[in-house]
Amino acid sequence: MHNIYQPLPAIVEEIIEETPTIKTLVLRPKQDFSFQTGQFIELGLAGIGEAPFTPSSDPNIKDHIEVSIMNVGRLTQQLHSLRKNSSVGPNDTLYPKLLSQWSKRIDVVTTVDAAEKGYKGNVGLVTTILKDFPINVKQAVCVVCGPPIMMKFTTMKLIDLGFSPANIYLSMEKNMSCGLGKCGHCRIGKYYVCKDGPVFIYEKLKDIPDIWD
Amino acid sequence: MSEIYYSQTPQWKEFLAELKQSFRVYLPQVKDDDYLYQEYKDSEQFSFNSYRTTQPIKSFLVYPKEKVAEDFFSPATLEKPVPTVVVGLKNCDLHSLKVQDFVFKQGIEVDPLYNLRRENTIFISGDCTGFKEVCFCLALEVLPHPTEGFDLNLSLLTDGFLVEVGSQKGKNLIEKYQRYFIQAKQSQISARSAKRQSLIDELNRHLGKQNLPPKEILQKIIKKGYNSGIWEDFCLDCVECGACNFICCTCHCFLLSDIQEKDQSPRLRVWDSCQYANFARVAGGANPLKRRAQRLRNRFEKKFDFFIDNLGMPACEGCGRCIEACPAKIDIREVLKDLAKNA
Repeated sequence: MHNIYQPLPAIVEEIIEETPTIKTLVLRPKQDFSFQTGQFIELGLAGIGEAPFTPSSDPNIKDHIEVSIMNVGRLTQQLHSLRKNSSVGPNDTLYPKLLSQWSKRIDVVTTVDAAEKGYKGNVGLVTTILKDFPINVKQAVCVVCGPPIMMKFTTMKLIDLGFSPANIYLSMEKNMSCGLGKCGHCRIGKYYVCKDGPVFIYEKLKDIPDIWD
Repeated sequence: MSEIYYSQTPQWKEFLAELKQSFRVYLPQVKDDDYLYQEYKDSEQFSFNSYRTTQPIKSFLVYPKEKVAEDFFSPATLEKPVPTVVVGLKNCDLHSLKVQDFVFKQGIEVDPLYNLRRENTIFISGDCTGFKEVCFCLALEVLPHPTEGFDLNLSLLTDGFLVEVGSQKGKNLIEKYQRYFIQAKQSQISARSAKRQSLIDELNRHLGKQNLPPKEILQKIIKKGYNSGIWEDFCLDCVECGACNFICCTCHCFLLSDIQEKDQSPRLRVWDSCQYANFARVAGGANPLKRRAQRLRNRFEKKFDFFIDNLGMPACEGCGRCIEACPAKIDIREVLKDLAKNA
């Protein structure tokens, strides 16, 4: 029988330094592997452990997966010390290449919490750019990700703007061990983030207390 | 119509001795007021346990600490477990298997170790003929005698046992060892019913004094009590040992841990406890279950809210093991009673 706890090996093909604390690892799995938008993977190192990460690459690209990782804990510190290949230097926003590609076809509005003098983009919390956002809420959906506190205030702002809770998609994060709906760590109300999420519409979560903790 | 046989005590003991040739057999052994499972090797004696054992039945299916993958890089075939017979489960234990099966055999993936062990284990349960002070199964509408979920079930009569067949595995066993069994008489089955009813009456008298909330309001009082001060009050003496979780026959949480050995990097699975401070802590430090009161509440939400929503039954059978195990004497019955009082 298939052992669900057996990892699949992968090679680190490239390392992109996005910011001083975030690196994107370009991984080539040694076996066929695919994911769908909204799914996450458990990524680990032999003898160290694993943790859930959401791929940051296009799910239609089958031969490699990109995962952007912030250096915040025991495992991510080890992942950050993997061999360095390409370094594109520190940047103010994540994924500058991707963002400039997108900008050719769609309106991309960015903001940063704080910036040094001379920064040309928007400075302020996400909620500030949402304030007078020219958008028809009836024809729009929102995808919200980030630290819980940022998601909380962004969601509240979106509700104020008239978005339906069914049109707000949230990428939730909880401590997870197995990622398979067995280990019991990632419960939110009657859901497990690993198997029922990690992306939830706000409609499903809005009556559960303390979801942003 | 269920198949019920009769086996005289000496025949039953011979049957067990013979089972030992082909199976690893576990029998409850008396120690003071408790029954503890031990492997039946030579000197162990079969004595019918009046009530449930101390160990939770889950420990036969998910070990407290074990390798779930031999090496990070090279997959190994899972070893087929030794065919095992566990004798002496009670109805609370059988109910808990519904929860464990739901977690490990159902859902998006099947746990291969659990599944193999479950397939290779025969469960021989028995009617309760007594109860401990902490037993409160009837309050959760779990009877003190099994009605389903067993392979064979024993009911104690004066000089032998009624043996009811509950599954194909049980049926095969009776067929293979038929010389130890004869068809039960109607009078014996009637005697069983009378014994069962008399224990239910006795347990009801014991529980009557306790005034426990009925099963159907448990989810409501947990939800209503979310912001109650009860959690703070009850967690005051909690020493975060996790015994309530480990001894519980429905608690199933675990932690995967990768370690480095000489040439290999195996992956371990260890039982985990939601009463531990780091249970829900994420990298970066945020912790939605930072306070002990939140963690105590988590234990109750999981049992009486999450599982009622997901499985249609609470993840508590009233076995009372957690009450006995808690060094701080936090009593699940008292928590539920206080929640009901304040709801």
